[in-house]
Amino acid sequence: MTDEEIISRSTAEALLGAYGADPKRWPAEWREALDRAIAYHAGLKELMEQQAALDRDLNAYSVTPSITVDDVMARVGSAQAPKAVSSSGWLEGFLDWLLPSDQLVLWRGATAALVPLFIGLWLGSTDVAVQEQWWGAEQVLFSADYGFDAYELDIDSLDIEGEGND
Amino acid sequence: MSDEAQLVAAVSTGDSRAFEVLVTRHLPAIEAYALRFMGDRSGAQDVTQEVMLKLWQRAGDYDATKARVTTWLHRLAHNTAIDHLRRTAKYTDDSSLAEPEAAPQNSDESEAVKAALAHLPMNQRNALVLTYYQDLSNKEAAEIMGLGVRALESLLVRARTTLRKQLEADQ
Repeated sequence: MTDEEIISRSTAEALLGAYGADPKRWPAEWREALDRAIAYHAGLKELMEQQAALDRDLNAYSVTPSITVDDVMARVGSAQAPKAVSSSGWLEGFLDWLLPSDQLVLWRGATAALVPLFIGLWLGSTDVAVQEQWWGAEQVLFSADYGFDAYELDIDSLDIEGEGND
Repeated sequence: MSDEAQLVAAVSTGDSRAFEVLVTRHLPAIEAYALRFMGDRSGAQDVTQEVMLKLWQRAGDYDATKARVTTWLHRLAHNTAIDHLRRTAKYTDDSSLAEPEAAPQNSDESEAVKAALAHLPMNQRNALVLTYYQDLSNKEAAEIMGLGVRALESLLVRARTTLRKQLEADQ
């Protein structure tokens, strides 16, 4: 938008209706345009006054916080410590989930080794269809005619030592 | 990395001193947000305590490249408040709060605003509270609510129009 453009009255009304009459609450990208629109469009000043009255009402609604920092610190003190930020990725995160206690550090390596074993056992026990496909492929492989006859030796034509020298 | 982001990083390593600094800075705003959004002091206290507990336990989830700390905490508060209202069967997008809690220390004018806010649909009230009272930008409020900025502005226009009519009728 250039400095010379004036936003439409309806756009200005929508922005004032959303953000009220205080320019500090207007989105920064609209402030100058709204200022120009208010000066340009008749009737927007009246809308500004209505929105200013609503802003005054909203400002009158104060709340008194009741929770103290000590309350929070007391509750957090009895809670579980924060989870350490993991730098070693998903496996570390998975192990944290599986064995969260620091007392079980010695078991973590063994658990890590067992994970692929269990995954392999699970795959081996469930993926029967894949095995059949492999067996089928092997059958095709061994029964195929690759023309090996062409490479069979013609024994009669060989000059075997001790024969044919007579 | 900002000072606040560094504090959150320290909290993620179990630094209770950094946690206390963050709580001191953000506790009043988070409780005020929960109170105005939920209209129920007891529920707001529960939600605020839960948010602070999440700050302690989930500080490692914070990504300083994506949001300011205050925006992240408001998002935690928003989600926690919605969960709380769902558990107590008070939540639908269009629902208003049935019984705004009395607050004897407030003025009549303040009570009128509180009652009018309580009768707004929940998403309109949330949009207004986040942008007007919590000093969040329209983009931050929209992100917290999972909306686009235009949708947020539409909610704000409807909320302020309804409030203005309600308050004029009360006078």
